[in-house]
Amino acid sequence: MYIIQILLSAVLALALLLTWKRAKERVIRRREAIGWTLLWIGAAVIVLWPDLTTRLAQIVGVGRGVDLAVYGSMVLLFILVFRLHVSLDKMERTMTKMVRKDALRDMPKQEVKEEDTEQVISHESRDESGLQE
Amino acid sequence: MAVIPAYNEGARVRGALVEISPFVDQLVVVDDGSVDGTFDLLKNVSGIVLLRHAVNRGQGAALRTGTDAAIALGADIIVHIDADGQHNPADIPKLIGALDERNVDVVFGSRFLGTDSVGMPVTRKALLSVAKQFNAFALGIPRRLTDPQSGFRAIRKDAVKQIDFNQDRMAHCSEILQLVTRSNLRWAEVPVVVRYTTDTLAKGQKPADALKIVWQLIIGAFH
Repeated sequence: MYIIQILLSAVLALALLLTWKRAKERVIRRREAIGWTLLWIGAAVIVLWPDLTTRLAQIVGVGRGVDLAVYGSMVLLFILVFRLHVSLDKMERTMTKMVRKDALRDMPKQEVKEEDTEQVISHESRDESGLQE
Repeated sequence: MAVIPAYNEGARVRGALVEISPFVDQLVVVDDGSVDGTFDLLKNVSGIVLLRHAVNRGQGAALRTGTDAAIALGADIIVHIDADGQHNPADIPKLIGALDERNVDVVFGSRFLGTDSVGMPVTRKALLSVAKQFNAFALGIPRRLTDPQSGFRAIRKDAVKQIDFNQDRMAHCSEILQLVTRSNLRWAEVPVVVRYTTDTLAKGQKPADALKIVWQLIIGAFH
């Protein structure tokens, strides 16, 4: 076994431990933890038996095992970045709802205030431009 | 009732309001977190309902805020119109009139029904033609709808409650078209003139924004 294999296996084992620690602490959901576990185990298999990727690559038609790993990583990264964008968009929309609520909260007050002071002008009483200051 | 989103439109919004006001009963202006003093410029103007987004949320978000306000204020018909003077307010009666004449719930203004838009760049025309194909294939918007990015529209009160648009930024136009044309709402288009000026072109959508719209629509589909 090469040193790089030992190092990477150790890192992956740590990642696995951390995943389940967080799952126990209920920081992440159990379903999420299972997903991450599969990923870490998959990575460990590739690290420990690199020839497997070459065989897989030949089956898929990619050629070299390393190429398959790179392509797979790219797909995985794209999925993760995409999910991040969806989460960000959800947060943005939540923020918009808060900003909207804040904007609309002032509306009735504004209307009442203007009616009380008879500042709201009827369409007929507007000047030529239809606006008054 | 007209709903007018305004972001950094200090130089143009007042002129636009003056032009729009003879054609509607009430104006709802939503200042979308402008930093050029648009809100201050309008806060003492009576005869308008002025709302303010504390931070910039995009044209779609401002339009939704204004639309919600218009419903709360009891509007029967809501007209969406830009604050930069690109849309010709003289077309408002045409939009509103078509609701009854053609017995529909929503009327879209179209730049491609025989009227010549003033100063529309060739690149914009080409992009809109691509957008039309994208709308048809990706969103299922019928090709007989001639303007794929119409932002000038009149909607009946009951219909607007069914159009739950949530795109905050530029993609709201396509989203509204999709929601309307793929529902049981009846719709029609009328020709309108859009006036492009150096100012509005500088501030308006750029060709690269088309990609952003596509991205926003894709992300929106995964909510």
